[in-house]
Amino acid sequence: MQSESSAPGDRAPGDRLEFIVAGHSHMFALGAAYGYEGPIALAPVDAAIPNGYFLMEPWSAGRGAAYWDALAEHARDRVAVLLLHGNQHYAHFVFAPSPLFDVVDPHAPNFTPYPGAVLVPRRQVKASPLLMPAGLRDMILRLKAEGAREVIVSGTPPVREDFVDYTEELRTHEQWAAMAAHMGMDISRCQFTPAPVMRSLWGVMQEIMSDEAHAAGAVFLPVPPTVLDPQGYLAAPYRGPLWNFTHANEDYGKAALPHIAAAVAALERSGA
Amino acid sequence: MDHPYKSAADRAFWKRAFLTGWESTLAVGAPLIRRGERVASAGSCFAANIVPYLEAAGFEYVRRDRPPAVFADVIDDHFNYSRFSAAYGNIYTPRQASQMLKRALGRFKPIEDRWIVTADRIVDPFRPGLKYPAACEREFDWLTAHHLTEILAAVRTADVFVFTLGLTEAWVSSADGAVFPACPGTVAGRFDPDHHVFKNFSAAEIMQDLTELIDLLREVRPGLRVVLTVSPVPLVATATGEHVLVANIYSKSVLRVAAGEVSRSRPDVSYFPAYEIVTGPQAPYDFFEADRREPSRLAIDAVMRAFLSRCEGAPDQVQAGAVQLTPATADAWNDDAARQLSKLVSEAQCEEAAAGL
Repeated sequence: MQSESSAPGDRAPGDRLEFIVAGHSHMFALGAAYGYEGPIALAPVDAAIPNGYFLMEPWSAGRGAAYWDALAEHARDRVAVLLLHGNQHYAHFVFAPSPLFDVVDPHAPNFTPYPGAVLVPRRQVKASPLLMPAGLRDMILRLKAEGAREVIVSGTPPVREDFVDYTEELRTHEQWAAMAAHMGMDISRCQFTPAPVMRSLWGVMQEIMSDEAHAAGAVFLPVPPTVLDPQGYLAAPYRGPLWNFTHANEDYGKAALPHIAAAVAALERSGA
Repeated sequence: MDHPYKSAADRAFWKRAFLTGWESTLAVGAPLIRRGERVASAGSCFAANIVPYLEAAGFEYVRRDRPPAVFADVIDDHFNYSRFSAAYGNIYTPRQASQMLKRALGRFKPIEDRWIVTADRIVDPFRPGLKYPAACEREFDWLTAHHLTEILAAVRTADVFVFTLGLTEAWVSSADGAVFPACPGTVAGRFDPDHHVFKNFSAAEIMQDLTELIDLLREVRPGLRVVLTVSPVPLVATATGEHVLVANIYSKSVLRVAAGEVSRSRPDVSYFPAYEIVTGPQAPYDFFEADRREPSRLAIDAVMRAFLSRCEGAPDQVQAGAVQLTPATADAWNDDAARQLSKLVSEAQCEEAAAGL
């Protein structure tokens, strides 16, 4: 991937409004090079989308202050597209707490609570910091204060229904069994969060991001409807290997990038 | 000359009834709770106090409709929803309790069953203090249905049900008599004099409602034993027009009479004198806090010492102040381990993805 340094705000009349995609590991499904080793810099997202860039830096399971400083600088007079975190539901709930809980999904037409689960009010789950993308609101406010034309908060990839095949298989791995035993848990008996509940948690997380975006004056962009199957899971064509169930594949990126570009174009038309 | 008082125990004589350890002589008979039995409870705010003592003494308290400990830091406990067996919060009158069971059994559907504050804030009139009301009517319907199911599950699981009577005064719906736990407009909702009317239950009504409550409980859980108590906490306010002191004594007297009558007339119903321990002339001044309304920790310890002395296999002593009164979070440690493992799985995915790419 070719990297590019670009001075902000040097658009000629008629040029399309530029956007920068920045954030965490879900950027890689969109085409950002995982093995990138260069300095913090912009890189074109796709030849067919000439006004879009990734903000790149070598990935080390997170982003440092220099990365966000660079984003604030590059986002001046451009649109910043934030793809922050997005795996909180897995990171806190792959192993189910006790008692198992579920959340009403008001958007699912055929929602029924998971059998035996305690129903926790959606507001109560949202009030917990566990699903909150850390630093999102502050980042939006900073980007806007430092001259970003607009900030879009991108939705994160939906849950794939078959992730439970992977989690069930964890029971057979000696390494995970030993780790669980070290924490006082018997992996052969512990409960994993079922797919319908994880799907609900993903929905809550999208709602939290939307709330945060609107509260800070940003735009929330839900995932493209085409990546969802009729049950609201990540559709099969957008799933990668099962061992990487927390991330979507490159075809997901091929659907998501034009979706983002279209949202930026819509903002431009609306006068952003 | 011989007479019945000659052979009466010390406990029968006021002069000799309050020797050291007198609380254990307050009531006699079969144990209130036997070792291994599961206990559910409901009632006024004072009723919530028994739970940590029972658990500390090794009895199993039934808990349903309770979020995992992972959400413990966002549980609102101002109205004791997390301190009873199925998140119903304080229940002050037996009619409110029996209506709740009838709702759970599908026999009563209050006309005023929700307060739509805004489109995204639907308040339950029967749990108006919930910190996290439903975000839409659909969620409200599910949460309510789930709550009512969990109430039945709690009763079915229990061997003993402790019910603490709190008030005779209530506000009810003029449409169908549905009893609200608080006057609409105080905790939530809007007071409407055309729809919300004051009711001060008589002794006969309380007795009838208690009897009906016990019948309903035993319909759900045949053989359930019941322990009745009266809360020593005075009314916070009265709507009778009388002085609150007069209204309070009337209310507590009615409740005490009803509890006594019903416990004598129904099998396997016991009365436990928590009210007497805290409010009787023998009670020390410091059994109430400075506001003369809130029972002190000393009083609660004394009540529970006496209560546990009537339970099989309970420890002999309740150490003053030793029991943590805040809601238990027994699952917190397990949840923490589950979260740590979940995080490791999620991180491993990122590492494996790195290797794969």
